Amino acid sequence: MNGGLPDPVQTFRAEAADLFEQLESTLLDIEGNPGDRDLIDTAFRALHTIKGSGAMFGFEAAAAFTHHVENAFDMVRKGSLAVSPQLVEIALRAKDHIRDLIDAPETADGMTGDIILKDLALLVGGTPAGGHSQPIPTPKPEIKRTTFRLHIVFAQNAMMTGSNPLRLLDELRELGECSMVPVADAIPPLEEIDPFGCYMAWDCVLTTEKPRSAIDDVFIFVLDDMELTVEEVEVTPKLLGEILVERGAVSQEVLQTALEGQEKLGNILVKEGVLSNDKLRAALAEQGHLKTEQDRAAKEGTAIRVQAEKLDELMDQVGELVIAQARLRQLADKSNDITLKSIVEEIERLSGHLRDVSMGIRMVPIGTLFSKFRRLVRDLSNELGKQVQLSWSGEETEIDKTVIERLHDPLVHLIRNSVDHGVERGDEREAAGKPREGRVHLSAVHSGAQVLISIKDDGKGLDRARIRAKAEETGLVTPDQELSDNELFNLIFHPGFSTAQKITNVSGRGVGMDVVKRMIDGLRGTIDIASTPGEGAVFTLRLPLTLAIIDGLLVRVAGERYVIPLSAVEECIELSSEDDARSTGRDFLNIRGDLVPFIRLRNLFDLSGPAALYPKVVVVSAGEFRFGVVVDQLLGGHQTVIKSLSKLHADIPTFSGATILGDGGVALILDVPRLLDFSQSREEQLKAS
Amino acid sequence: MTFVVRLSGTQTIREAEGTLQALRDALAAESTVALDCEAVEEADLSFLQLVIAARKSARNAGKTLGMAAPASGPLLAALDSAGIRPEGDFRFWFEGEAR
Repeated sequence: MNGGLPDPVQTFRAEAADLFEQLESTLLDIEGNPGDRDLIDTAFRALHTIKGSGAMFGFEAAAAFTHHVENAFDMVRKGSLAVSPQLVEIALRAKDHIRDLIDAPETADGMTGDIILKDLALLVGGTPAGGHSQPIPTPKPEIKRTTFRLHIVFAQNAMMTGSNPLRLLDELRELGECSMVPVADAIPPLEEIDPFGCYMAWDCVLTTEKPRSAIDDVFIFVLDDMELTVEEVEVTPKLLGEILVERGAVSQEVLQTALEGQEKLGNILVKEGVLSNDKLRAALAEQGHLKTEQDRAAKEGTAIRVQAEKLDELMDQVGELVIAQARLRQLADKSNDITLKSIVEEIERLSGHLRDVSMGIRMVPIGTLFSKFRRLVRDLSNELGKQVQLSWSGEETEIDKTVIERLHDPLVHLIRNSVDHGVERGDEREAAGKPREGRVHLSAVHSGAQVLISIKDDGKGLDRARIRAKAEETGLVTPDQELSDNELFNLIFHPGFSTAQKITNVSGRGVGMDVVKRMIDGLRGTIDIASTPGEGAVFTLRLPLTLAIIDGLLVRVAGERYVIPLSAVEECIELSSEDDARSTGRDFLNIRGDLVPFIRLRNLFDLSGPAALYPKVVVVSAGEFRFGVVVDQLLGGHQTVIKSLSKLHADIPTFSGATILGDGGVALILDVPRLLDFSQSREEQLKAS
Repeated sequence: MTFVVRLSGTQTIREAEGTLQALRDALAAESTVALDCEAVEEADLSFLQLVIAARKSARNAGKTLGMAAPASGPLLAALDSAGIRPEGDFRFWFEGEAR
């Protein structure tokens, strides 16, 4: 058990990782949309938070460095610096550097930082800043947030006495989230105005972690002469009418009459002249502010950060519980005790629910992974001088976090492959009548207990002739061997196979595709390739949703029990005695007009013992293939907690793991795709001999 | 004909009187006035108020006063501080071409 408090520095690193991700995607958005002020603000806020909390956790170097980048973005916000591709480029490099400074401060390269700062300074037009002792404001650890409604009217002579209302409002904003609505009603026309007078008033809603006194502190020097009302408001969504009445903008009666008009409340009140446009805006702003504040609170209330190991541990425990419950069930089945049976049923229901909930906790939307590839594609296309647009769909598809983690590397390889080999250069594309900009599209979709992830490009497609030539050259196939497209494409997964004529930095070193295949195999997944010459290629990964617990079909062959993953099972049929007798030479079944090959586990695993009178066939699918597995008996559905095989047994191809049954026995879990490969190769051996 | 009033440099309470005069003169003589604030290097609340007042006067007199170009730079920063956003009567700050 790994108890105790989590290391705060680790927690900070995890939070910073989120911020870096957010920053990177925001920067990439800015690149495509330089005029968007919201994006600039988001980037600025992310940098500000990284700086502030970095300093708080002792990452002074990171904080000092971030300070300069933050400054640059502040200048952009203020309009004194324009967004340029160079700025985005520098900011991306800076982001990488800050991450190094936080993840591994000992090994981070100071030179890199200096170069970035120099570039930044050149861009900003200042002198390169080398200072490391900048005072950095640290955010407050207090967490109680209060929302205040403020009405601010400065004294008529406020500016004459030397105060600057706008600066004070800026200071107020620094206290927290602030929605501010200026009220210009009191400004007289030019003929009557005193140029030194202060006429404007403000309605504000401020949500802050600071105490009420902090607001007074902002206005401390003008407080005596000004009109400042501060009221605490509850963060509950309110109807506009309620807010207006509460603020004293209209009376309850006026509101009531207006409501009866059935028109939009705000418009009615303005039209009837009981409410000025400004006051309506202020009230609407408050409504909006409260709504966002509540949403934020709701989000924060439900999300906590948990260490990954704890989730793994939870899953282990749930797995043990499921096994224990299966044993209990077995016991209850033998007993006649009704009470015991009903308790067992109850426990079964609870543990099933617990299993679903625990697995749900581990599910992460794949979008987090997809968005990481934007930078990859951007950098890659710059490096290769190609224009490639990355898009995706199905980012909300949830997969077990372990699967997501282990998917990262194979997807990097596949995307690199698409950008490097698939998508052509701009001029080639134009010559082929395609838009200059190539596309790589990622998609994810659930399909039963599996998830399909595809990487699709609109490039030139796989080069059959070249793959064939290369395969013959390396002796993988003989010149006269006939190969289907699928077989041919699968050759690229062989170790050392690369058709790239020029070795680039990106791919073409013959490592990659075989590694991809191995990693996907490790996830109990499969890869399909489809390719149309001139139109592009699609790599489709088929993966299990989770690696921990699966629904399985428990079967018996001779004295042994096996689990077949239910996701692979299509149907179960009886092996008729004619089929059985006929199939001594060729093992084929006729299923509704389709010829389906089948294998006999009894023969495959050399099991002895009396054969069943009525053997069953479990029809399973592996990728596009369908085949039957002949077993003696179907024992029924089984919640399968996957236990990995020991290192000694890890090389056995036909099993992906083992599970413990209710009676304490062990059943091996069949690895369906590899079972197919194995039986095919065995058949070939038999034919050859 | 749109008459353009060029406002530049610092536009704070210290310059307020001069600016007020310039706006009054422009509105007295012309019926369509555009304010060119591109060269404004600093602006405070007094300046924002003068422009809003000038707009009120213009409207009262059936004249037009607006911005020659959308607010930017230091002026935009001042609008930001004042919480002025492109909504309702404040929209003119963010629209060019006085109308």
